[in-house]
Amino acid sequence: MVVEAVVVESGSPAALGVGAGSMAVHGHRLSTVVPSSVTGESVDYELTDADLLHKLHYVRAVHVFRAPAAAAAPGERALSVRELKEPMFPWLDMFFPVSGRLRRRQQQQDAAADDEAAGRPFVRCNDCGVRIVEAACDATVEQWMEAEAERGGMCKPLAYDKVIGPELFFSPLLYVQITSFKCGGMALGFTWAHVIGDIPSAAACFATWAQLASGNKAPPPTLRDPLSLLPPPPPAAPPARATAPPAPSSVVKATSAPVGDHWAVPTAHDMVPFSFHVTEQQLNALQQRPGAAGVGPFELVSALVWRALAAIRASEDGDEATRTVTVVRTTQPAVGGRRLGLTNEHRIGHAVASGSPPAAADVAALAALLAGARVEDAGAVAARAGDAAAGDVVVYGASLTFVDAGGVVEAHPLELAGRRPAHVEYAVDGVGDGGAAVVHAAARGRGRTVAGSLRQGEPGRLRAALRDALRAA
Amino acid sequence: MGSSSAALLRRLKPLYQVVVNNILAIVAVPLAGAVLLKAAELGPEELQARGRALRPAHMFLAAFVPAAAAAVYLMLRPRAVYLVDYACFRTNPNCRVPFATFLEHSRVWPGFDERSVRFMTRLLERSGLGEETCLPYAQHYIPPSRDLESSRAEAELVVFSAIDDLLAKTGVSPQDIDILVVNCSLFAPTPSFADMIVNRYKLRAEARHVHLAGMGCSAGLISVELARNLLQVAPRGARALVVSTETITPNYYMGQERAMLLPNCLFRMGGAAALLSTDGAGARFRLARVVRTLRGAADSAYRCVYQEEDERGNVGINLSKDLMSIAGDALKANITAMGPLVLPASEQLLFALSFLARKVVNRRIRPYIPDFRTAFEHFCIHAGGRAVIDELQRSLTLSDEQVEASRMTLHRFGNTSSSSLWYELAYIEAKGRMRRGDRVWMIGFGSGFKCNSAAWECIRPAANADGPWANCIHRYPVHIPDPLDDTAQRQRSGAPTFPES
Repeated sequence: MVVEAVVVESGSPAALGVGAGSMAVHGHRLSTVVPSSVTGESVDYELTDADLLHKLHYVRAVHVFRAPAAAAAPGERALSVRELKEPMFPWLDMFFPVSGRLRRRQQQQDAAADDEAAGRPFVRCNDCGVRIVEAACDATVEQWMEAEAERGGMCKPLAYDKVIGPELFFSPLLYVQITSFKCGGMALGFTWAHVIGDIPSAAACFATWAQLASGNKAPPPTLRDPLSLLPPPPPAAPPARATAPPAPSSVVKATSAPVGDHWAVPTAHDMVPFSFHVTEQQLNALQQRPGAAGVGPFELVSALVWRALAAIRASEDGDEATRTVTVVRTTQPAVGGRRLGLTNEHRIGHAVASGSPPAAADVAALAALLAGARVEDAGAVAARAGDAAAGDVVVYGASLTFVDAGGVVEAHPLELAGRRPAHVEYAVDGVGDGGAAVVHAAARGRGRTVAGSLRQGEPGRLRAALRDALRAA
Repeated sequence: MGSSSAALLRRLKPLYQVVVNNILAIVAVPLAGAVLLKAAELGPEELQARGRALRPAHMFLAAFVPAAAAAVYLMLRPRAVYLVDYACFRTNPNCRVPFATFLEHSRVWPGFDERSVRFMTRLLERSGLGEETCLPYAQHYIPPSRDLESSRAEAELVVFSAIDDLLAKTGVSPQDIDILVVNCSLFAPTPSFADMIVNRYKLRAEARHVHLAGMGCSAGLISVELARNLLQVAPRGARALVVSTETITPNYYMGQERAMLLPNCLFRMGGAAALLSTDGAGARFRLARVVRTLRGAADSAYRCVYQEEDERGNVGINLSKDLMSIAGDALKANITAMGPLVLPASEQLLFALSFLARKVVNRRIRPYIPDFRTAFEHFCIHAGGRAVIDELQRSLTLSDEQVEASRMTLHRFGNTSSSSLWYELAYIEAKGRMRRGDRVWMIGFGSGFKCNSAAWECIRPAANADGPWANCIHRYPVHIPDPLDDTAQRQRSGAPTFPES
């Protein structure tokens, strides 16, 4: 209902017809921003096993701002690209590993001693910087929002689509794309390598930058003594095996072939972006359903998607493929932690729909399964994966994955020049064939945004199925 | 010569210097003493008698001629020119370019092939540059933009900041400036930089302004000399503003010729402004000498630093292989001209004796190299590159401390072309090494081939370390590793080690 109303009110179907072409983002200009003070010689940032577990994945965060009103106060006018870049220099002083580059440890001479560490990636903090991309879109923000509500998946062109590799030395860990719209609005798209931190870490990092852009003072750069960067925590003590149930082995999956220095997941299908918005009324309606009491919005929305996707994939993969899903729950990073708040501390686990196949199951039942999924620390998962973790591993997309990013938008708001974004989307890219979806609270209102990557051809059908399911509520 | 006689000579040398440098006093004092004794011997009555015997005409001439000669000499003597103060452009951390970023940009842009990138990597490692040198905003893009608007923006940023700084330091208002000399070699838009400054600062309609383009890296001292000459004919107490800068934005070389890639790696943003005047009130330095040497008559010197297009039409500056030998040659010519003007009599006598000895007695006697440390306390050598500074240190037999200002300026600011001499002077003052009466020698090299030098004498050292070095002087001097230790270098700088193919 809601979506169709928007279409009617736009008044010009022709605009939407021409929309596909004029929504194109073009004119990309690349530049680099570096930390304002010298990090020092040979400062290395060690990557933990949990970090390396996620090296093939990327966090995509897009914030779309409307143009300031014509009668806006001076403090609320649009910021130029240079004004956006200015605070990045002291910002990168605080987050200097993000501006470093990946290296691999040299092969040890005595292979017997350190076989596992040979070629282990780490970050050399050489101040190489983050890449800034300036682009333009010929549509206005309003037209774009309409297209997003109509088709979804419009955020992908607003973040620079580049993976790490083929040369590790010259691959930035973060791309920031600033897209200007015809009306004067702006979109900020971040492409963040998951190896450096998870979704809350990335969100906290971006929010810090926004605070600097709004005039807060950065703390003075500290003298970065390599010795003050503590070594990675010792490997977690193995869990007491007697009480833990036998570990399911398909939380993470090795890639079909080694990816070398080109950190992209090889997939059998083309993966395309997908997004969907669930309004507050629809959420409330879901929660009124029998058996849905006590289950949170994440579980309800994910369950809807699970059931719909299971039905879509039943013809191709059969019923068994979508029985198992991966559940990822994010936690807030420790503020002021020794690792600068850049961690992969989220928890990963499984939910299995034994009994009736998920395509036919009740939404509330699936939601309960998701709520009850046993999750464990990424570090523990990495430790268990053992040698496989040193290789190339897929976490998001090994099987259909749901990521609970909860209140990440509220906790880390990106406020620029006194204005909040009109639309925010957090998603993951570089996922496996199973697909992945991130569920988080929307920018405005209390609905939920679902965004991620699915197989080619699935987004359209999934959106239709979800609309039907929500209308029936 | 035996070692004992050499030691004896070394001990006698200071005595020799004192005698020869004060020869007039040493001769005049005994002579005056002898005259007084003779006069005392003769007695006052005898002196008066002799005095009345002189004819009035002779007495008149004896008084008038020396007085007239002195007056003529004083009038025809060139006016002394003073440096009231100077200010350098303070670089901003948001223009900073670390090694890794520079190399990544050259790698990511497909216009440079792998050989060129490898060459630039090696150049950067051996260049003596540090991680804080700055490039203009337009060159942080991939590929760098070289358009007119960005070039103007860079020029305005550098020049206006330096002039604002200078006017604040000296308290002079722009309306008091009578002469303006600007030099920027590789960017000369219309209207010129000088007009740009006139427009921005609203200089008077009668002010004389000049823009010097194409004069190379030694143009800073050429501007100083031109300002000095203009001050001779300007009203007394006139003020001349000298601005030296180089605009890098339009000059990034986008081709693959190795000889032309060197300027990309070395040249960085920088500029300086200096206020000269014939009024010495409140001045900090006095300009003693400017000596300019041109070698352009010889073809090899003329083509040594040559701007041209490579095979694919990319414009760049071609540095020939014999740059160092031509530079050494030009330096020799310059110091031969400078020596007699600044060296104390003792050194000049020794040099003359050694010269005669080589001519008359035996050609194989080693020529005496005058010790310029007797003439100057501080040396500012154009920070053209590590090789240039090494070569000059060797040929002038300077200690590491004396070339420290040049090396550290190269490390912190890169090669800022004509303004590098001013950054080096600022380093010496920021370190607190400048004293009243110290003499400074500035040596600049540039295309042409030119070698220009200027000698300054300090009247009043800087009161504080405020200036381009303000927030980093405490970190200097830094040790710059030896370029011959290649592998260790690469590992330290974190630069990629290319596989040996």
